[in-house]
Amino acid sequence: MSTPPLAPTASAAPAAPTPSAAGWWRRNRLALVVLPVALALALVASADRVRTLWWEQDLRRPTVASAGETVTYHQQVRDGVSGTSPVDVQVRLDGVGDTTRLPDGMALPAGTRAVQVDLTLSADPDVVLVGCRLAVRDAAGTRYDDVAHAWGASQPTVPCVPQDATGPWPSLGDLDDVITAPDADAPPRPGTWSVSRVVVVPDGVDVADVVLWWQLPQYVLLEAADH
Amino acid sequence: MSTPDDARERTVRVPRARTLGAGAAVLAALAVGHVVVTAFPVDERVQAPFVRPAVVGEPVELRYARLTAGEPTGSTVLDPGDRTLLATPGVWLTVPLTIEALGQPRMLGFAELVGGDGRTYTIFTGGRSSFLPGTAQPGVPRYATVRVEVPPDAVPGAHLRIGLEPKDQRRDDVADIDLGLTRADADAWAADDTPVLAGPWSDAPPERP
Amino acid sequence: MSGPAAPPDLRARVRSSGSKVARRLLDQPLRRIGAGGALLLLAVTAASGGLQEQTQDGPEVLVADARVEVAPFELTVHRVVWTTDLPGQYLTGTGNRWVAVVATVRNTSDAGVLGGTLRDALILADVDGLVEAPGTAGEATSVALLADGSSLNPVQPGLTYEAAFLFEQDGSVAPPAAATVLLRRQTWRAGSLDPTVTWWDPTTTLRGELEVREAVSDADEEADA
Repeated sequence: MSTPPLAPTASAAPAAPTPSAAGWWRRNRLALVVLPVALALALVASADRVRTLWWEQDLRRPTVASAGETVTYHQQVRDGVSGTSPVDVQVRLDGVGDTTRLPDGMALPAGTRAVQVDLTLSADPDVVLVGCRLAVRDAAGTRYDDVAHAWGASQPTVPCVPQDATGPWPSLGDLDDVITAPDADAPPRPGTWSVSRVVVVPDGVDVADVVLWWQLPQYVLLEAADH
Repeated sequence: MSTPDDARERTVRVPRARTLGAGAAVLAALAVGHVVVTAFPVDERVQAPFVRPAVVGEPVELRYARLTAGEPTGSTVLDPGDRTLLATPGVWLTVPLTIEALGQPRMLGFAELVGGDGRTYTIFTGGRSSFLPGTAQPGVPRYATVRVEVPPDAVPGAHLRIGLEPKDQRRDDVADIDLGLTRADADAWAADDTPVLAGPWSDAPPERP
Repeated sequence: MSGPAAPPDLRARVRSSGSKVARRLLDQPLRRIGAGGALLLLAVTAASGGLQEQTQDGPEVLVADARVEVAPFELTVHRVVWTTDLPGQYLTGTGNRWVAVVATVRNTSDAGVLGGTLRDALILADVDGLVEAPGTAGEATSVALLADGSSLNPVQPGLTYEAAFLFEQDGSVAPPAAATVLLRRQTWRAGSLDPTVTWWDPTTTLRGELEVREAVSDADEEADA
């Protein structure tokens, strides 16, 4: 009673697997195409911390000026309290070269030499510029910072503004009424000024560019003359 | 009469077996998960620092600096270079380090001594046991001294670990320097009360070779 | 709903099985079975680590010169003295004086601890006019090593330090005749806001009232210690 149906099913059974295998690929072809794209997007989305915690903790977004050129730089800098203050400044690298005229009391360590960096900057007198930092870099990208108090010498703490007319300092919020600002009795900063800093670099290092920054990752990149 | 009851019993028993099986599977998954999480310290391994072993006198390359440790010395009295003297119930151990920053100026902030007795001796930037090298500029070697007070039993087989971030050394290079000290060194220092000098950092190499 | 909660076929099976326990259990309302089941579950979790050790009700009595364990330290409080002059330590106001608890300190854990953990281990109470930083009620301003006057920070394991916990007292108040010294033990755990593992939760375990006398002289102090 049950045997006759077996024959037709037996003949139908071997034919079934091959169409279903090819059918699987055909049924899922869209998903298979999208799969690598989705994987890549998932990796990118979960790697956002690489950007914020590592990439942006260094100098990454340059505003470049070739040798002798003046560049206009703009950044909204977060101040210590809350909110931001704008940095709008024009910078030109006048020259960078070896110097033998050292600041008072500087004693160079063995195997190093002094390099003088001359900059001309111009900005509105009410722009806060005192949070700047200066460094020189070689062709390999190694950064040599400008250090104000080192090797026996004492240069002005802020490298990018005139020492006696630094311009406004950032607000300290509630402490503004209690602490007198360092620029309280000083004259206003001129519209255009020049600064000169002595940076100590090892012998055998050629300065490729000068970098100036207020807040990572944006910075001003000033290429040196013979590069 | 029996068939409806049997049918009801079967419908009652079979789902119960399935739910029991599902419940058992869930409990088994929880147990396996618990065993996996506690038996294998995966979190610690993934976040562990990259330990670079070294010995005294041989430079060790880290991502951020090249370190060379000099010969360790010790005594029961320490001269920190500020006209005071520090005593200790154990012995003072000082290790001179030469630091060459790589890539950009670096301020090394982490140091600790893993004693031969297995205990960890804390060294931080201020305080009696301290390591304060300041910011080293690339290309200009920085000379600084690590000073730590330890019981004499911890001296043989002590290792010095140096890193960059004071609070977090995960996923970054840490130098592990075998100081090559023996019981004889510990006994000699415990019997000595000539002050050993551990001055502040400097960019000029120390006078003695 | 306090009526019988079991479906009729279950009741039929129980009746046919003849078990008295099953019939009694079935007659209970579901609410009670639920509560009983919950209690059973709690008891099971207690057996597998659900219980946490509780401290005793009140602190024990602190006795001078007795060594006590207050994790991570082993402290032996010797005496409490006051003085107006300590070389190497600077008072914040003229006329103020130092109240010093002289003790032997030993770190019994496996790693060095910072001075803040040591300052949490011993606090002073019932002394008027203590000059202290806001938020640090009764804590010492610093712990000085008797041998060289430096601040005891970090406290390394395996070493026995002779130290003095220093408290500054306002000069307009009379020097204390007695002070209550409290010793607190701490727990090694991860913080609730950040995952770093350190010493938290100082809990008073010993309390004692000690007589306070004027320090005889610094030279005598070092000779005694």
